[in-house]
Amino acid sequence: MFCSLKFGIGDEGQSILAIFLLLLPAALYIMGLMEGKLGQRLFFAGIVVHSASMIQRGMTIGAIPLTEKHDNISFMAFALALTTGYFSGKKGIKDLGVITLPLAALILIIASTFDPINTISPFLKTPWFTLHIFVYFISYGFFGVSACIGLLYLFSRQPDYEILQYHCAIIGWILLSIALVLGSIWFFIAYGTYWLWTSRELWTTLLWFYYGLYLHARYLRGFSGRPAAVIGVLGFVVALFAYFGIGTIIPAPPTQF
Amino acid sequence: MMTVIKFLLSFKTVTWLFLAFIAIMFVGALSLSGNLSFFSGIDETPLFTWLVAAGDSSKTWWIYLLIAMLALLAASTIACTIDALVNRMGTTHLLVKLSPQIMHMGVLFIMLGHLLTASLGFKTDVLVKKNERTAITDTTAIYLADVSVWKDRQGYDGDWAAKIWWYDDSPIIQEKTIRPVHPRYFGQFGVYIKSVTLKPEVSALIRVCRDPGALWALIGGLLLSAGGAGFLLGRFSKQRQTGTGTGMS
Repeated sequence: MFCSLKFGIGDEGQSILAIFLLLLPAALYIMGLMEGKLGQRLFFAGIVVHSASMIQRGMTIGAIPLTEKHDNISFMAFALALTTGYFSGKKGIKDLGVITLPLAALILIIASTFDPINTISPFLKTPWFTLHIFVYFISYGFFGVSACIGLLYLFSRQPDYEILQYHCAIIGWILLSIALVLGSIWFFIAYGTYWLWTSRELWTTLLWFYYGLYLHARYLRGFSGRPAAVIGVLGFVVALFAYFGIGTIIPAPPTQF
Repeated sequence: MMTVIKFLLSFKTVTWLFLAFIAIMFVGALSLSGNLSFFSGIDETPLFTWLVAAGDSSKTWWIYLLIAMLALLAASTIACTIDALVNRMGTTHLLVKLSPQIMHMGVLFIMLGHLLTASLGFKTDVLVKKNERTAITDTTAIYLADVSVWKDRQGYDGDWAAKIWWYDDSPIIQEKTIRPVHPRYFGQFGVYIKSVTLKPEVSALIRVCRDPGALWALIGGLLLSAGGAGFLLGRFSKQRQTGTGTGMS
C-alpha cells in the first residue's frame, strides 16, 4: 500500500493536480503520433507522466488507485496505451497508435470529468477487489487494441491484422473471465453473494457471451475476414457501453466504480 | 437419441443458443433498468423464491427464458466436451487441446452453483440492537455484544466492526467479530456486516446467508481461470516450438 502524502496542498489542489496529470499524458499520447523517434519519446513521456498521475492518486488515497471512476477510467486508458506500446513495438504494427492513442487520450479526458473521490468504502479494502479491477481493465486494453487492429484490417485488408485482432481478443476474453471470477470472490466475501441482478452484471455477462460467440465462431469454424473483423470491432463497442453506458444511458443504482 | 446428440453437437445450435442468450440478456438488461423498483428485491432472496413471490410474468419472462437457454447451453457444452475428449484428443499439444474443455467444465460448475444458489440458498438481513438477541432461523440466533466505528481522514465512517455471539443447536456459544470483507462462518451460515449505527441506539445491520452453490461456483471459476491460463500458455509454447506467428490461429 502507498503511504498517504498530501504534498502540502489542500483537497481542491489535489483534485486540480489529479486532473492536470490526466490531461498532460492525454496531450503527450496525441503528440506521440509524430513520425520517428520524437513520436516514440513523446509516447514514452506520456506513459511516464500517466504512471506519475496514478502514483499521485495512490499517495492521496493511501491505496492502489482503482477504487472509483476517475482512477478506473484513467487505468483503462493506461492499459490501452501499454497494450498499444507492446503491439506497436513487438508486433511492428506502426499504424496502431493512429487509432488507439487518440482513443486513450479521449478516455483520459473522460476520466478527468469525474471528480476524484478520496474516500474508500471498507467493502473495497481487499486485494480481491483490487485484482478484479486491475485484470478487468487490462482485458479492456486488449479488447481496445483488438478492435483497433480490426479497424486497420478493414482499411488495409492485410490478413495478418485480422488474425492478430482475433489473438488479442482471445487474451482479452480470458482476462475478462479471470476478472469476473475475482470479482465474484470479492463480492462473496463482501456481501455474501457472487452474483447480482443489476444492469452492470447483465451487460458484463452479455459482453462475455458476445466475445465467447465471436471466439467460438473464429476458433471452431475459421469464421474470418471482413465479417469477423466487424464483429470483433463491435465487441469493443459493447465493452465500452457495458462500462460507460450503465448509470448514464441505462439507469442503474449508483456505484462509485 | 442420435438426433438429439447431433443437435447438441451442431455448431449451428451453439451459435443460435449464444445469439438467443445475448438477445434475451439485452432485453432483460433493458427491462431490469426500466423496472428498478419491481426488481429491487431480487437480490435479497434466492432467485426461485423471488420469482414465485414476484408473480408478474410480464416482467419476469426473460429470466425464465434465460434459465431455459442456460439449460440448453449446458447440455450442448456437456455434449461438445465429451465429444472433444473422446474424438479429438491427440498426443501433441495436449495442454492446448484440453484447456478449452477445462474452461467448459468450469462454466458447467458455475451454472451448477447458480442453480443450487437459486433453489436452495438462504439470505436474510437483520437489524440487531446492542445487547439484544435476534432469531435468524428456528435454531439459530445472533446477539450483538458491541460495535466499533473508525473514522477516516475525511471524517467519514472508514471502517466498522461488530462483536457478535452466534447461537445454534450446539451447546457452545461462539463469539466472533465481523467487519466489512471479513465475514465469519458458522457451519453452513455466513455472517456479514452491512452497516452500523450509533444513534439513536447502537445497532448493526447484519446479513446471514447460506449458499450451497458458492463452492461449486468457486470450483467452476478456478477451472475457467486455469483453463484460460493453460490455453494461453499452451499457445505461446506452441508458438515458440513452431516459431510461427502467435500460434493461435
